[in-house]
Amino acid sequence: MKARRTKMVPLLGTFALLALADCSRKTRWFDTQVEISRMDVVQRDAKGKALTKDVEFSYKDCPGVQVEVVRGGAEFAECMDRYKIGEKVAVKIEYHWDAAGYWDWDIHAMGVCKRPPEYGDEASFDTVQECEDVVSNGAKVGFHCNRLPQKHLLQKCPWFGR
Amino acid sequence: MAFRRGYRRNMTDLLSSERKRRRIPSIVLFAFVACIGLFAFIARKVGAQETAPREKNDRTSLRLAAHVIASAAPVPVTADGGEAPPAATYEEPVDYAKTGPEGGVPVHNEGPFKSPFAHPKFGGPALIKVGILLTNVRNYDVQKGTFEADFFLSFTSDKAMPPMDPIFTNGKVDLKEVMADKPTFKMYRFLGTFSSPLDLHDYPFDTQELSIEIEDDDNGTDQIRLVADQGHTNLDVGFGVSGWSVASLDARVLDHYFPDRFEYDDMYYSRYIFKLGLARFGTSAVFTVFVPAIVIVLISLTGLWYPREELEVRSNATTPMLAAAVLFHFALIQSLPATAYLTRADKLMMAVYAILGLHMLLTWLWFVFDEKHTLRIMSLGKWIGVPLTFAVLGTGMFL
Repeated sequence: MKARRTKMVPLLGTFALLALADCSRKTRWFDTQVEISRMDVVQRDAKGKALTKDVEFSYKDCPGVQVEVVRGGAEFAECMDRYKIGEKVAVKIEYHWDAAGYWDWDIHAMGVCKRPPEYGDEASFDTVQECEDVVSNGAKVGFHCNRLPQKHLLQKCPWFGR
Repeated sequence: MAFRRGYRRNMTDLLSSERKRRRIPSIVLFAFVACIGLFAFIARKVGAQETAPREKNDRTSLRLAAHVIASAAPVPVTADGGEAPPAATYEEPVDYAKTGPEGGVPVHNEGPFKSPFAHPKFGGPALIKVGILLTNVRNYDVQKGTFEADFFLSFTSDKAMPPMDPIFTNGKVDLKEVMADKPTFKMYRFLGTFSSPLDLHDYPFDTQELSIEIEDDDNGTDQIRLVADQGHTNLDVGFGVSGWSVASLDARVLDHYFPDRFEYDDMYYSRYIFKLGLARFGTSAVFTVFVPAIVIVLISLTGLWYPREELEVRSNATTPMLAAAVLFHFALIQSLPATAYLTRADKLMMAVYAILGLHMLLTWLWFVFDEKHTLRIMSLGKWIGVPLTFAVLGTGMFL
């Protein structure tokens, strides 16, 4: 009886580890504010109605420079007309495990406008970086931008973690 | 008679055909002249079309095009940054450098540089903001440190630039397309092969820097000063390099000084260096290097539990693992260039060799000491050999 119990311990341990690994990949939701910097209609129908729209914004509350462009459909394009460039809007972020083997995030809503993310959307993109000047002998000679999110960025804006 | 008539007809035909033959050259001549005329007309048209793009790419033509470039004062630029009115013909600095009475290198006696390539009449350097958009990186070869890059390069200046001819000091260009060539704005598209030095200290968790170094062919810092433009240094949408993740972007400008190539070679040249930092995927590194090494160690470790009666099994758990470790290490080395230092993978493999050596030693001790110490050596293997194994492995992994 004791021997059987001893054999069960590693098995249960393995299951517990697997369960823990599965739990750690749980989707999380975040709310934050972004500042709109650009809005462009990409495609219009024959009547001139916007079919797709690009919205570029930056995460002003996060350290560094994070610029993201999302493309949305006709409904999103029409809804986003109520916002202006420079305006701050709330966004709803889904932070999830991607099948490609890393964490990713998707914008589901901007302000009151819903934006269902599209699988394999190649038009939307983001630039997450923290830049600093490169100084040599006291003179600025260039810049260095780190694209791997640092601890202080992830503490404030955890969805940037890959 | 019939024969005569036939003969006469034949003769008449012959004569007429001879007349025809005589006429043919005149027709051919006429056609020939007409063709030449037509050809000359077409050639003139085509030639006019062909010279335009050639002028765009031809440095000599650019220089002779005589647009902008001042002789003494800075060239005025319109308020909206548009094309400045031409002030003077661009003069090659070496053409007005003065040769001394004893001959030798012609020099400029006015201005801060004596070099024949200095341009004291240019009127101060143009500050050129360099922007780059990297669209693609292909065929990154870690063994050679070479890669193919496809990118846009832009020069935006506060005043008219001299004729520019960007060259790449760490590679060669396979395709150059001039997209804009205005006095204060120039844009190119390049596709080329470049090489960068490798830093494999952290292999397989290494980060490599892929650099593109740009320098103008002969304009020194008295004519142009390059400035890295952070706002216009980007990667294209969907940019990626398989097996690697983008770790950093870096751009800087170095004032490059050539060791003397001739007398009075005192000119500095602005060199723009763009670096793309790539980090190897960690998961891939763990599975390709660390997991096999750990498996080798663990299999060898199981041998420590076999008693002296199972000596053959115990030896077979360790010795073949040494062969496996050597082969695995050899395969790892094959994928990398020779280095003057140990990579992290090398250190790990050194630890693996040390562990396998320890395990073999713990078995051989039975042959060295008397049989009465068998049990003691066995427990020594378990209580000292096992912790030591993990300690050495940990040191190899994290050192």
